Amino acid sequence: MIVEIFRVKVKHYVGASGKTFFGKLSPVLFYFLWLFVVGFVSIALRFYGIAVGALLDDFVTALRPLTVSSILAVGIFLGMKGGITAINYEVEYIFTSTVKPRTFLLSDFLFQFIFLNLFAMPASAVMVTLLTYPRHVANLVQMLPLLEASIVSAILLGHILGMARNWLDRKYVMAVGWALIASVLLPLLDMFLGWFPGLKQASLPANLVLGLLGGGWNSAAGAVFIAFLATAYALMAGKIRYMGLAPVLTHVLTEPPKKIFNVIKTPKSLSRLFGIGADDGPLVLTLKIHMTRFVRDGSLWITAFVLLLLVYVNSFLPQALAVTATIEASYITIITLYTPLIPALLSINWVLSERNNIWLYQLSVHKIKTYVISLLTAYVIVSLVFSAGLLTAVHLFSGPVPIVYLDFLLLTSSSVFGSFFALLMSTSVKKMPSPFSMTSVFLVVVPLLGSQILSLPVLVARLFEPVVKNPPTMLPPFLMAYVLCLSMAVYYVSIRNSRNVSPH
Amino acid sequence: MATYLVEVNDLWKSFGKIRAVRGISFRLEPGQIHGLLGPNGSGKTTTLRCIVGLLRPDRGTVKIAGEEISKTDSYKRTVGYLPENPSLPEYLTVEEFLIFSAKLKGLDAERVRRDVSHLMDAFGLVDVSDRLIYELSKGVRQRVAVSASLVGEPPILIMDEPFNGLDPEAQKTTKDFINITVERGGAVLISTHLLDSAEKICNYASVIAEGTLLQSSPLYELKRYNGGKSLEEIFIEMVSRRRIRKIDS
Ligand SMILES: Nc1ncnc2c1ncn2[C@@H]1O[C@H](COP(=O)(O)OP(=O)(O)O)[C@@H](O)[C@H]1O
Ligand SMILES: [Mg+2]
Repeated sequence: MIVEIFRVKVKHYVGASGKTFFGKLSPVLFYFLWLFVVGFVSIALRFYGIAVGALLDDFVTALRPLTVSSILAVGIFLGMKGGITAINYEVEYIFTSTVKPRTFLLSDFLFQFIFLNLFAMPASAVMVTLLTYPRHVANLVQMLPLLEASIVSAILLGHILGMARNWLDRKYVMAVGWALIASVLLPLLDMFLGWFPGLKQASLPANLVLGLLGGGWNSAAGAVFIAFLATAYALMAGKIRYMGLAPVLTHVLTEPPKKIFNVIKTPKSLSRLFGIGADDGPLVLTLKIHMTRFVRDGSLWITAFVLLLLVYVNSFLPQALAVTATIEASYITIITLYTPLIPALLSINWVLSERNNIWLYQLSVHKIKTYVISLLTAYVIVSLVFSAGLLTAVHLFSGPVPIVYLDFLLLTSSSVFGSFFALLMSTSVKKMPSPFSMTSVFLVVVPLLGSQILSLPVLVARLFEPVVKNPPTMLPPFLMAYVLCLSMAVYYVSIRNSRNVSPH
Repeated sequence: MATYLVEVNDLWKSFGKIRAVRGISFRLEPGQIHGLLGPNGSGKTTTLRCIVGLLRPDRGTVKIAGEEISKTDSYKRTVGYLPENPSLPEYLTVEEFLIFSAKLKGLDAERVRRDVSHLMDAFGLVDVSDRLIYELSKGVRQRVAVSASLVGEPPILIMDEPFNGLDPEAQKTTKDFINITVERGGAVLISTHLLDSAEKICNYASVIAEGTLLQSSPLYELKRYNGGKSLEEIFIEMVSRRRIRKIDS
């Protein structure tokens, strides 16, 4: 029975991916793209490593706590939402049948286990192997069991939290969930900040799982932790009735979502920041509307979160590499690499939700051009503010760093060009993409790559130490002119492209 | 020169294989409250979207105040449009959205303030003026959308199922605004399948089915011609007669 339910589940997901050949293929393509990106990034890192004569084993070691903590956090987060995943048909037919809840829970366990493994296991194996070959076996032996242990613990935690709602009030479950998330993420944060020296040894979930391979007492503690979870799980699964389950409906994976972010209530003062008033001109007004949207629909916060996470992951990199250029140069490179991600995320949200509101502008007496320009401007502003914020953060953590004009130029160019590509992509998309479609991939990849390519001259100059120290006289004006001219070109292409959002 | 406010000429529109509108023509004169009546899926929404310029017709023309809409943008100032199930910027408050809609119509600041406060009063939105549209119930949302279409007192109103989800009070207010618009010499085009309301408010009716126009005439003529029957009876007869004819041929 467990396998039966599981089979139907898989069929449902495979069947939902579309009727056309390409539609059926797209999850597979998506998967290979994912492996390809992981592989590509690893190889690039490897070459850096070879170039500077550094071993990347430290980097891989640093990745371990990150992997464990993030997988656990995903499980706990899912648990707070209900823990168990289900599709509509299951709620309607299985929940009303004589199939034991335990059976259903186990089939969902199997499903989540295989899904997470598909996602994480080959990718980690590829990454570890590419980074540390020929010492990959030792590193794999360290990484993969940890990955399995984290996946199992994450699902157990998720299911347990989801079932706990049957006995505990929802708000207590949420409180426990947040406490767990904090306990999982804090050690991670502390590796960076170093504020709480005891945290590394504390018996927190992430540390317990990490300790599994540590040998001696650490391994025992890890095993006890997982055994404890499994026992609690078995007890609860035996007792629970379907009524006590609040499954997360996973149709969001197969259907185009209406929006990724929901409107969130922000404090009055914050949302009044861009007071929308009767006195504004059309461009300013539209710009204010975009900014208000970013703040209130949560896209700004999610973007900030993703960005911080990525920069955090990469902050291990300079330490592991001790790059040719100075540390601050590599920080700056990382920031500029990720800056285009800001408009890319914002524009995905635009496709999903704001696109439907465009009729308002299409019927307005103002030119649709105004709308497109204001959107581009809004993307550039947010990108600039965020990347400048990250740069400031680098200063705070690594002490004052001399900032050269090239840094400003680099931030400007990656913000402007990233925003441009994000806008171009999102306004060219005709239909709402589902999260695992090629369209979603392009929406992210094109701004990232496009802005890198256009920023290349500046990037190269910034990374080449002698040029930074003693710039040739003609270089600064040349680079500035380059960015300026290209920005103007980008601006005109955007305007020309605005007929994409106009019906005529 | 044309005295027609809206002139639709041989309009065609397909979505892939679905031929939603097939050669519809009709006109709106000052003083007309024109009901576009038809069963679900008969092409009412598509017709209205072509008229306001949100869809480009495959064939045919739409003229507003004598000017073809594909050649000019100036008609947008004179048209108030209410979509069916309007998608609204949910992250704005009611007041912000109304101000924004008024600005999009090109009104000056003074006029914006006056119209917005007048409409919020009329539609009972003062209490929710600071709420996000996201938080509103369906009925209040529809009131907001109706208000937005009325901002700037446009002489031409194009409304797609305007009474959908409105409570009696808000329906009355909407009708009042419609009447004021035609008294001032404007015209109103309403699509609906609610024949009772249509019968009470409209003075002109066009009946469409499967994208073609079955009849377009003043309401009193339509009724006299059909021996004083109610609009509902006339409508059902007309549409079923068409069905029978189709089966015969
Ligand atoms: N964007 C669209 N894409 C595909 N088909 C559409 C679209 N809009 C409308 N249709 C189809 O056109 C026909 C007419 O629809 P519509 O104009 O909405 O009718 P009504 O408003 O009278 O109910 C229907 O068969 C509908 O399915
Ligand atoms: Mg309709």
